[in-house]
This record gives sequence, structure tokens and C-alpha cells, in this order.
Amino acid sequence: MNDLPSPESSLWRRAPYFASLSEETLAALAQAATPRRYARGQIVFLEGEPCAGLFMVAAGGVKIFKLSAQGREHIVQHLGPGDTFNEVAALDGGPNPVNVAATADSLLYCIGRAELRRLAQRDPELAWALIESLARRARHLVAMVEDLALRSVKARLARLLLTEAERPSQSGAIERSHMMSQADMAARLGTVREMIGRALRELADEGLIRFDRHRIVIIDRAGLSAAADLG
Amino acid sequence: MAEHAVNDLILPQIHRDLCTGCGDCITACQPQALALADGKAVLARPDLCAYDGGCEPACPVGAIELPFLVIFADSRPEIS
Repeated sequence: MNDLPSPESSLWRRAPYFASLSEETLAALAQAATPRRYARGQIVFLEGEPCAGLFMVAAGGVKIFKLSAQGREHIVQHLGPGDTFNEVAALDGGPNPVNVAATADSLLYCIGRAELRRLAQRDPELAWALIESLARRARHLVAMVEDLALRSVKARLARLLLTEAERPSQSGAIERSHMMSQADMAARLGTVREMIGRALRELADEGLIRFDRHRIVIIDRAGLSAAADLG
Repeated sequence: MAEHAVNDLILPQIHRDLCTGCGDCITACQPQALALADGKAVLARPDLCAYDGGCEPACPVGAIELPFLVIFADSRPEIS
């Protein structure tokens, strides 16, 4: 086997729990994956459909979301290059548990369940990496449940603003995927636009943020952290 | 507020396919930057837009969005 990593296997190494896999395992993953291109806004798959396989974001980004009976969108997570998704359905073979749509023109790689199972049975290293990915996902969901159950919209919004301000831009330029409308914030926090508008005004009235046209400027980082119940 | 060059600004985005032309956003827009054209809302006077967020919650179908960039006061990236 050639020891030089191929561009495709380097891509799989960007996923944190795949980073320690051998070059041979990564090459097998890369070989089993098929590339798929999506335009911004295009649906990748829908909740309830048969398992679409394990996906990896190579370029662009996706949002993982649920829809209420009234059609209200709740964004579970935004993912970017190096992130994987749909492990649950790829491992248990059940229907896709969430909806996924591209938030930018994106290149994704997909591995079908049968192929993933064959690779994991052959390589315990890969099986362990998949278990780690599930554990990480479970940790994220536990944190989300705690947020929804114990924190106010204002506290969750304060935390979201801090997280967004700390998120580095891929290109250095301002991209739409780095911006959030009030509807985006509501979808991320499992609430409605009116609540977001009210919470933003409260944070501004308290001198923690200010509006500068299309910018929300955090002027008191410590104060906003306290509002988020972080500090 | 109107002295910025328009091409230096990020402006509200109107999704024409969603817009029903009800006019609620035009009523809500205090700087009067919005108007109706061919039965749809348009940003007729972008130079007047104050980015005050009045239009987005007024739209019953979510056809207008004002995307915000969240930054710390000590880091202000410019539009490239």
C-alpha cells in the first residue's frame, strides 16, 4: 500500500474521531464513498425516509433540522467541512432521524450502510471510531436537552451570540452562512422570531450588545457570558 | 444612516417566491425603504434602509430576512 495519503483519505482524517485511523483504513473509507454535489438550499435527505447512509461534508455546509407539525423549523446543528452526519441511521438501519439541507453549494461524500458495516467488521479501529462519534453526538444532545429544559431564551441567545462571534470565517470574507437572521436564531434555539426580537432588545438595553446595521456587536463579553450563565 | 454607499452594505433579502404582496412589511418599514412592484415587495430605496429589523417580524410568511453578522467590539471585519 502506498504510504502517501490521497486527497480523499486526508479529507476523512479531518473528522475528529477518524483522525487517528491508519492510512489504509482511511483509504478504504475514501474508496467506498461516493461524491454528491448540492446547491445551496437543496435537501440532502428527509426525516423518515429510508437510511441514506453516512455522510461527510467535504466542502460547503449543511443544517440538520426537525420540523414541527405546524412547519416550524428547529435547527439541531450546523455542520461544515470535516463533519460527518447520519451515523444513527447508518448504524441502526432505521429511517433518517432528521432533515438535512445544504446551507451553501456543497460537496458531500456518502457511504451506504452495507458498505460501512463491511468496513467496520473488517477493521475494529473504524468500529471504535464510529462508537466515539455516537458518544459525541449523545453528549451534544444531552447538552441541548439541558439548554431547552433549564435556560431561558435570553440565556440561550446570549450563548449563541458568543459562539457565533467566536466562529472563524473560512475565507476571511463575510459569508451568508456566517450570518443569522432572527428566524435563523429562532430555529437554532427552538423558539419563535418574536421571542428572539424581545431577547435581543433586552440584551441591547442592558448594554451587552449593540446593533450596527447588519452587525450585532458584542460590547460586553463578560456581561454576555454572565447572561448566558457561563461565567 | 443614509450616507453609506449602498454597495458597502448588506441589505435585507426578499424571497420573491415566498412574498404574497400583502404589504405588511411596507407598513412596518419606518424609513420607507420598501415598496410594492408587480405585486411583490421590493427594496426600492436601499439607501434609506436602517436595518432596524421592523420588516422581518412583520412578514407573515417569512419572505424577508435580515441576516446579522455577530462580532466582538474589538474585531470588525470589513466586507470584501
